[in-house]
Amino acid sequence: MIYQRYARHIALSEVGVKGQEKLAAAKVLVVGAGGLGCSALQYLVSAGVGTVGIIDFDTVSLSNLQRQILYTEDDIGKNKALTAKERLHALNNSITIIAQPVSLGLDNCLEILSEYDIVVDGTDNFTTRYLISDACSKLKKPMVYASLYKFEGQVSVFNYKDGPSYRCLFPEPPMSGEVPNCSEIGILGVLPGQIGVLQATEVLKIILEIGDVLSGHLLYVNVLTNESRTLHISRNDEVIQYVRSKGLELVDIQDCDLYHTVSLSEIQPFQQVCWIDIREEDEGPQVELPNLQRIPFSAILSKNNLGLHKIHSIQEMYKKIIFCKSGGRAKKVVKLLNTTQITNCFALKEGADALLTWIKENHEE
Amino acid sequence: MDLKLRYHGRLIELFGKPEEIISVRSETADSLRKELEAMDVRFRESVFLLAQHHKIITRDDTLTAGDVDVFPPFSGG
Repeated sequence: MIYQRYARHIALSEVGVKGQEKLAAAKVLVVGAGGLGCSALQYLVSAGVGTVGIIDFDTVSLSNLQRQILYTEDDIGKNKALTAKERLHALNNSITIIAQPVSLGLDNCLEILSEYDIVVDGTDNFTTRYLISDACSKLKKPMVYASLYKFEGQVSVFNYKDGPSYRCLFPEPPMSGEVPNCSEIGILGVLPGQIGVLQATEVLKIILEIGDVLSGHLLYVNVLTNESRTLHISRNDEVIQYVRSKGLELVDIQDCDLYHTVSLSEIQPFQQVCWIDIREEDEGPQVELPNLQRIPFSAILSKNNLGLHKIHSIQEMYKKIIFCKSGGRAKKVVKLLNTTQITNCFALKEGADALLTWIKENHEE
Repeated sequence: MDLKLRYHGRLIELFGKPEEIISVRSETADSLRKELEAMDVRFRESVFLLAQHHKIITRDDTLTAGDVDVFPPFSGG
């Protein structure tokens, strides 16, 4: 125990040496090292939480720097979890920080979460949020939740001492069309800072067993109107039992995880589209469309940026729809393009086979 | 009874206003939800919470005249 470092904690009768030892023994996982994560992580690490896990598959982009305050311009393109770990170790080298530069999914969620005492939800999409919520519900692990919209934030602690879960609040996720893509929503840079600190505060209260933990209540904050209120949430036994009784599933919703995607059914005849086939040259079937460019995935990832230059040269007015065999590589390319100046790019959800059928139905007599 | 619906998050843009006063027949949270959904397709197509007197109201929770907050889920992080 480094008494000098934590002297101001130890001086508090509510914390003391025993409380500081509780913090040192605690294991907290922060899912998502974005706006909320960057904020919460700094205080958890400073406070001396003994083991801090960070999970994030994403890389730092220029537009993150307005609010994700662990990163600098030199970090652009680097993985967030690994970069955050480096920065946080400089802040406190006496604790264990575990960075996992992976995506949380059905295959690893329960295993990863079970290693920790408390899970902090710093995600920016409903798919991961419902996954964490259901996993925490099954594992009976506290989930310190927060989410944001422009100038507003919501905070709560779920599954704490058998309290309500996120699904008691929102049993089902919103429909796909209801959710704006996160890259389209503006957010005041200080908001995740404030709300992330509230999450860190709840974590410390849980570990130290002090104060009133925000379980069974939703804290709503609007930084524009200075409005804040605490709303009572009732536990929904039926929903909790249902989640605990079934296997983990991913909710099927188009939000941040999928970046800009488009389905064939959403394409309007009047739209000016430039199709980009990113399959390699030896991949079939051959797709013929007006205004189609073939720019293989390998060329887009190549170090000479030849593929990216080709995409960049397409006129801005065109909606660029990128497709591959099944949609996987197209999403990766759109994610990559999101970090560049190239805009108006969408990944086709369907693959080349479905596109061929669609062409037959829509473009041929 | 008259209720002042106070919208939050994306619902302010969806309804084009931060609040509105409506007259309803409902006396419980569930019947209000159904009445709103029947009244406007935008409610039918949205996930939202209703809150009154510092409480998220659901099922047969009793409504009283006055302010009702309508919250959508937020996704940002």
